[in-house]
Amino acid sequence: MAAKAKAVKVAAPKLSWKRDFQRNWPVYVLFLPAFLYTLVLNYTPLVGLLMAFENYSQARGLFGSQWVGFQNFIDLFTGEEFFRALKNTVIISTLKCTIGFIMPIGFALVLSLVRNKKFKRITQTFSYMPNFIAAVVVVALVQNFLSDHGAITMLLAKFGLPVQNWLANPDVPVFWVIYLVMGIWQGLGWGSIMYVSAIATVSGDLHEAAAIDGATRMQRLFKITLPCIRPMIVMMFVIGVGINFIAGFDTILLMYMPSTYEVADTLYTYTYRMAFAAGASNYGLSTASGLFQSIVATTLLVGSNAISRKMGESSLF
Amino acid sequence: MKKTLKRVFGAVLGTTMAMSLLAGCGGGDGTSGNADETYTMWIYSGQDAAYYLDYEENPALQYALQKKYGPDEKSLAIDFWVPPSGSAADNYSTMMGSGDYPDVIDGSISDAPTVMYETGQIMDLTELIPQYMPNYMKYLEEHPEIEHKAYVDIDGEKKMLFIRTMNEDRDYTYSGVEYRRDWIAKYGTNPETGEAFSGEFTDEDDPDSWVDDVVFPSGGSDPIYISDWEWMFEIFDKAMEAEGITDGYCLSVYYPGFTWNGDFTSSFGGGSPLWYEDLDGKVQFGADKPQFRALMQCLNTWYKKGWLDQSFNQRTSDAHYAIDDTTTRQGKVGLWVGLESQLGGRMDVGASEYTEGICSYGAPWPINDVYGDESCKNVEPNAVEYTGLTGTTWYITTAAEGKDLGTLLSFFDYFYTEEGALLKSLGLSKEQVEETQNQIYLDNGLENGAYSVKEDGTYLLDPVLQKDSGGLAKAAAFTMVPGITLVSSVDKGYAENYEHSKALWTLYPNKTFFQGSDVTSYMTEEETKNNGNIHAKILDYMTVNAPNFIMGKTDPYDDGDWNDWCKMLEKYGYAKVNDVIQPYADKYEID
Repeated sequence: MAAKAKAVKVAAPKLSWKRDFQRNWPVYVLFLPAFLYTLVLNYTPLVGLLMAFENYSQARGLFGSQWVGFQNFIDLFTGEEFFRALKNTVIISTLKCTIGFIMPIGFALVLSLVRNKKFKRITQTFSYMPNFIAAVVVVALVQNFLSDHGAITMLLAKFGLPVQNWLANPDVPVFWVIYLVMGIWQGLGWGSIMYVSAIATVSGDLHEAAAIDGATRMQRLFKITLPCIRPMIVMMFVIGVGINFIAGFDTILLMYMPSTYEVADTLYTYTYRMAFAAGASNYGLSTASGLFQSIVATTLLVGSNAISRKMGESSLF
Repeated sequence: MKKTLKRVFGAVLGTTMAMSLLAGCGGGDGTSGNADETYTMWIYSGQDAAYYLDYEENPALQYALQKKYGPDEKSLAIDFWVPPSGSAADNYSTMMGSGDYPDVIDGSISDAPTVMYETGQIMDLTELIPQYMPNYMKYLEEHPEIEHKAYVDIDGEKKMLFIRTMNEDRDYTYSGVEYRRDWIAKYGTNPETGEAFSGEFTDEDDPDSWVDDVVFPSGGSDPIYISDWEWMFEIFDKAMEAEGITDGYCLSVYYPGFTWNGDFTSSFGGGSPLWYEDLDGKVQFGADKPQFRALMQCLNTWYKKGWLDQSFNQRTSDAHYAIDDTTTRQGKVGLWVGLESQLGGRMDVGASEYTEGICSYGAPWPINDVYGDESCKNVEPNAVEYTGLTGTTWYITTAAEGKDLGTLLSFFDYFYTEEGALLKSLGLSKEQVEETQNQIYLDNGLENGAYSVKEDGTYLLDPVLQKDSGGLAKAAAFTMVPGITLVSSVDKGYAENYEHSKALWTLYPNKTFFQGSDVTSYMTEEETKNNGNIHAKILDYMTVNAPNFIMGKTDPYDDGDWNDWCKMLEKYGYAKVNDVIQPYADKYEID
């Protein structure tokens, strides 16, 4: 009986590649554009990483430029403002990985509690909209709202805060809060999509049984919904740890100014200024910085994945 | 049947998508039509979309292309490569980096000619130019003062690596210091007699008809000294109080408190805040000199007195000629760096109650007579960026190898003749418009051409273009080509007041600022790059810390703070740049 209960695994017959292609060629054809896209746009440019080790000259090209070894990395790490930029990058990334990460989960959970389907759909649609607004427009809105004549500034003044251009305020943590809130506003709805989908897959039977046993809605939320979507949360966190270290700093380039470099200058913006401002065109330094950030981000990604796996949670790979 | 239909539909969709993707590949052949030769040409800036969408539609170019050129009398066509507005530098980098560049390159944004030649990107024209460009060579012979600018020294050998645009004379600049002359007339009093001034427009429809009896403390009718400016600021304060302006200010400055080419910095004893060549021919770095300290002290004082825009350091995205443009155009600023289109009564367009009856006059950069030690006082500004006697360089690239260069160079040579120079500088004459019936000219009121010939043989710009703010004039002429740009032989029809303001903007010639001149154009790639890296670091430090001096976070009057600033600048290695530039400054002159 026990033997019968064991599922019998039947291995699929191995087909030669040629045979497989003959049988499934439409699938291969469909896959081809994605393969080419990845190869051409994601892998071919990796050759450009050579620039990180060269005194790169556009005129001489990638293979004709002078090889300088790790000099660009030395220049990067010994730059006067490098550690300030690194500190700000770490702080802003941490804020994005914590507060910025929790908000979409909270939003998805709150949405799951809404019973009126029409209201829920409208709310979801409205929450996605900011994601489609270009970064330049979002920054322009923030600059307007927070200028010394801006609506938010006027509102804050009612609560006794000084009238000022908040984006020019170098005090901790003004810029970080503005950047975080702006990111949450823009990404809240979009970031919650995965969690909303995950919540939708939680079995209704579990909720029904818990309700019969007298569990309140909040208890069901914390004892059923959250544990059920935990693998998704862990997966998103692992991805987010890496991505948040290298992405999203372009908006800072539009928002910051010399008077706020102390709190707003990140590796991305610092490298941009050193490599391309004031007539410089230091592609080597820029690539070295990009490579450094990618290595750190990948290390964080692999590290958080390993920790997640060790703690018995799900992992990406 | 249904399945077959689906397949056919799918195949059609797939083919359409593939075709649409491929449609973007390859370049268009523009106006090639039936031309004997077609060339490609990259220009950093193209047409004004208000008049036509493709630079090949330029009326003066089309007229020039009707002719035949070269020893074989061939017709030619040009396919222009124009980058999207604002991305010329990126576009240039991508183009040159990929090796996919056109036959001709506009050198407004480019590497040094020595570097481009060394790396095989451009052709040596030393033998070709004398052969096919007699008018260009004649112009060089007739102007020995600029002849050397047509050559590059490669290992002791004089080579012609480019064709240079020549300017008939130094032209006026498009922007400069402007101030509310009407406020001075209305709220000021004669510094000697104490009598009130008077001033008004004699013709309310003419923005340049202002007359007044304003006299400055220095004795003339224009502000010349810093003390004149401070006298004006006191009047501006009165004016703003009287008119109920609470969010205005006396003057705006570029966000770090300086522009790196000099300008206001050079008012305090000459030179620029970065590198310049002093009057003894020595390359200097300006930011740790007493002159720059005097500038910081001056701005610090003005900031404390409330004369200076209290948010100047936040206006980081504003161009130096349009700082806090909204407030300025609302008539709430007393003195600013503005455009020629703001001179006279041109800002009285109902933008706000404070622009009613406004009259702005141009002023030169002032001479310091108040701040710093004696070396900073009573010296005429000498680091300013103006148009020189030579203009853009144009390169023939190695992409043109094998093409008929005789025809191309003869075409360019045409623009060194009087007829060609007119097409380049002004556009079509009345006769040429009648001959071509050009629709752009006819639609924009230029039936009589872009100019007429005066009795003395000079040219008078058509009244339509005299009133134009720039777009139509640029669309009517074929400016993006090597040739002679006419300046002194053109009467642009300026009113006396307007011309006086523009003349004040170029009152003091540039003697020390060399960025973009031959001094920096012939450095090696390595030198340019190393200088650029030091430049970037120093400028970064200065843009953060100069505002601190002005706003009082550090004290420009305090020796300790000043020494810290100087030490930091020294640490970034400005002296290395001095040493690199010095041989070039010895060899080449500042134009």
